[in-house]
Amino acid sequence: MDGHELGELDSQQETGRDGPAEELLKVVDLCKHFPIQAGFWRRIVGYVRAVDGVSFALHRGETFGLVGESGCGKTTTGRSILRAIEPTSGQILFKDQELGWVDVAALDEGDLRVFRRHTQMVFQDPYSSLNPRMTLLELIGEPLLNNGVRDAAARTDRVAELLSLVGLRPEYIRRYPHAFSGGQRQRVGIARALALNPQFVVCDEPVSALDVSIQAQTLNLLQDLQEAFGLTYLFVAHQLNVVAHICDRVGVMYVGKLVEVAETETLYSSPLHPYTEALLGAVPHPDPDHRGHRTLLAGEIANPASPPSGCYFHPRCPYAEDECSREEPELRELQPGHFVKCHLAEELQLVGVDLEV
Amino acid sequence: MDPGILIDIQHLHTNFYLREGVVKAVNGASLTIAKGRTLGVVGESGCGKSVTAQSILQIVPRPGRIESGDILLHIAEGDLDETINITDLNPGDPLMRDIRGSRISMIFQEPMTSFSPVHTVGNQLEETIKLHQPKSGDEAPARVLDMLRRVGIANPERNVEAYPHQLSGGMRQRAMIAMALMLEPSLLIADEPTTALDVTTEAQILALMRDMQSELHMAIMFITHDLGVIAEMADDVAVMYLGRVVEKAPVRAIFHSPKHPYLQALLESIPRIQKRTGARLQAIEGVVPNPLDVPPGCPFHLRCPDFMPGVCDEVVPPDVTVDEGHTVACHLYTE
Ligand SMILES: Nc1ncnc2c1ncn2[C@@H]1O[C@H](COP(=O)(O)OP(=O)(O)OP(=O)(O)O)[C@@H](O)[C@H]1O
Ligand SMILES: Nc1ncnc2c1ncn2[C@@H]1O[C@H](COP(=O)(O)OP(=O)(O)OP(=O)(O)O)[C@@H](O)[C@H]1O
Ligand code: SF4
Ligand code: SF4
Ligand SMILES: [Mg+2]
Ligand SMILES: [Mg+2]
Repeated sequence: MDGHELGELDSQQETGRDGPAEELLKVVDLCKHFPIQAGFWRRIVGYVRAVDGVSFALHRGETFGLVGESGCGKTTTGRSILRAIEPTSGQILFKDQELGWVDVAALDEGDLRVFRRHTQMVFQDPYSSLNPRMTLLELIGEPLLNNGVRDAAARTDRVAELLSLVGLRPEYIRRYPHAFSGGQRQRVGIARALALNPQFVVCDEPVSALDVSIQAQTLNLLQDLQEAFGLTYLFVAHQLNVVAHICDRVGVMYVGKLVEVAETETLYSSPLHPYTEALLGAVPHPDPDHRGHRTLLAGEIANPASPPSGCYFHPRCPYAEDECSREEPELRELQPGHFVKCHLAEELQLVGVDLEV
Repeated sequence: MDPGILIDIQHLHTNFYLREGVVKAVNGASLTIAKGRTLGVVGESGCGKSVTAQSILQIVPRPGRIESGDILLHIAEGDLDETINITDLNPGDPLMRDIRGSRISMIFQEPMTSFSPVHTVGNQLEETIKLHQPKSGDEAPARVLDMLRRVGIANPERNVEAYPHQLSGGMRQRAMIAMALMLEPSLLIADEPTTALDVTTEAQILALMRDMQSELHMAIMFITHDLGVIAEMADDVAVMYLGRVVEKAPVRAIFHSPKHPYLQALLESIPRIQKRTGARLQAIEGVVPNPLDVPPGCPFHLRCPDFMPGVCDEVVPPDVTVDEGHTVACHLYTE
């Protein structure tokens, strides 16, 4: 097993704004390796190690952020947790109100349907995730219909209510997705995910296609729903200002692995991993007098089908030493609740972002 | 026409004819793009940014079409000095096809939409050259390699053989930029080109776009929601609301002395990375009006904190110049 045992993660009990909370979800050593096929016989010639030994725990009512370079496995992690795709290995434990801990990876079809009612996903790509031949009424009403809301009038009312909840006009109910802009489609996806009052939602870039005002509305909405229904979010995003705003804790991924996990304030103000430092340094500031202050990280992201030796970040890391290319560092809990996967974490003095709390 | 202006859009109207009625996606927008400079375009989602871009290229999808207005393209090369009104051309006009290929090109948020999955990246880049410059013949492969190198693709000899899905997100974005710049356009339209990218890859791509801009002296129309990216990239900014341009100014004025109540509210809505309060964000009250049923008067009046009854809901505010190069369409500033 790469990194750490589950017990270590359990030591991190403090969370959120209101102190300790009950655990809702535990991910243990999750792996998803996509086969690479070649030639006429579709022979498997290798594997893309999209998610490679990821472990973390989510507490009921918290928002856990997942950030990292494009292609580092964030979406794959979210989809595996919901069993939208089959993980290659690892455990996903979900705490059911009645049954206690259930292993999602081992659920049969029937139980999976029950699980899926409690868990939903807001998809990253608002263009391809909505069936173009269905109206909003059908798209958002589908999960309702599948879960027993047979009365058409009741369904229409609920869909109209959901549309206004996400800031779309109920008059649009009979329109098809192509008639909407990217941001409008994204909100359709959010309405669809919320239709069945889920407990846990994977939000995959839910606001990146939205302008800042609607983004603010949507983030406020997600927070209101969280407060009202005790929702738990896994929140994938590239915009670090949004992550800072909404997440209680953040995990940073690099090429299929978690390289740092901490509470949001701690991660931003005192990062321990050089890749986290690079991410924070690259954030664009909404101030034209601040131009040219973004640090440029050299090189391309490692290929997850043939990652470099040792620490995957070493070819791009400004602090790399000999040991880094030989030996893979472990994810260690350096301070309570602050995990980092870097050989030099104790010595490096990294620069974060000053937070006004 | 001012010789420094490349594109001059005047009172553009582009509509979609749906069964329920007419969507006025672009409803009288006017803006200019200066040669060699970057115009940032921001605005509420659905306000018509992408449709404005599609109109410039005459690629508005059905059931939409340009209804009226002018899109003047200024071409000055050697002895040639002429102005073409794009709205006078048919989408299929050979001149329009020539403009699309060699004078104006576009990159999208999702690079896969510009590539075919069944041909190698190298093949597709070569085809672009051959289609528009049939005489280029034998030099095409060398030019492709050169362009891939210029956009920072490592090992171009090997990567020309790659299919689009075999490249990482950041490399695909670079390949798409290479394709768009292959014919050295005078205008590059970038519609949210980095929205899907992480901040480190985004910083690389933006730096690349700036380098290519100064090398080729091209103008860029940069559409994005990210005001941080606008602050980083734009020389001038146009702010759109419900199909109209409501404020235009150089970038510093946009951030330091915003005039339109919509822009002021927009700037207030940005979550600041330094602030981790967990508190609610400032959002603009209400929703964007239905574009099927555009309200009379100022398009923002239903949500505006400075709303003046009898004026704002009756008269469309004209463009008022408040400073050099800074105009705003709001009754607070009319005499
Ligand atoms: N169905 C699939 N078949 C093969 N490879 C895949 C598949 N889905 C994803 N991958 C690969 O797995 C890796 C992780 O992809 P994933 O979509 O999870 O990344 P991500 O972190 O969500 O990136 P982004 O920020 O760009 O959305 C990538 O290298 C990707 O190419
Ligand atoms: N193919 C279409 N059919 C019908 N209506 C459309 C079509 N494309 C766009 N529209 C409508 O035109 C308006 C403008 O859309 P456009 O895509 O230009 O918005 P945008 O400003 O680019 O938004 P976003 O920031 O969300 O991408 C929207 O109200 C949209 O619903
Ligand atoms: S282990 Fe070495 S290469 Fe990896 S992040 Fe730490 S210092 Fe850099
Ligand atoms: S014209 Fe009136 S309603 Fe419109 S932005 Fe100005 S003050 Fe507000
Ligand atoms: Mg993703
Ligand atoms: Mg758009």
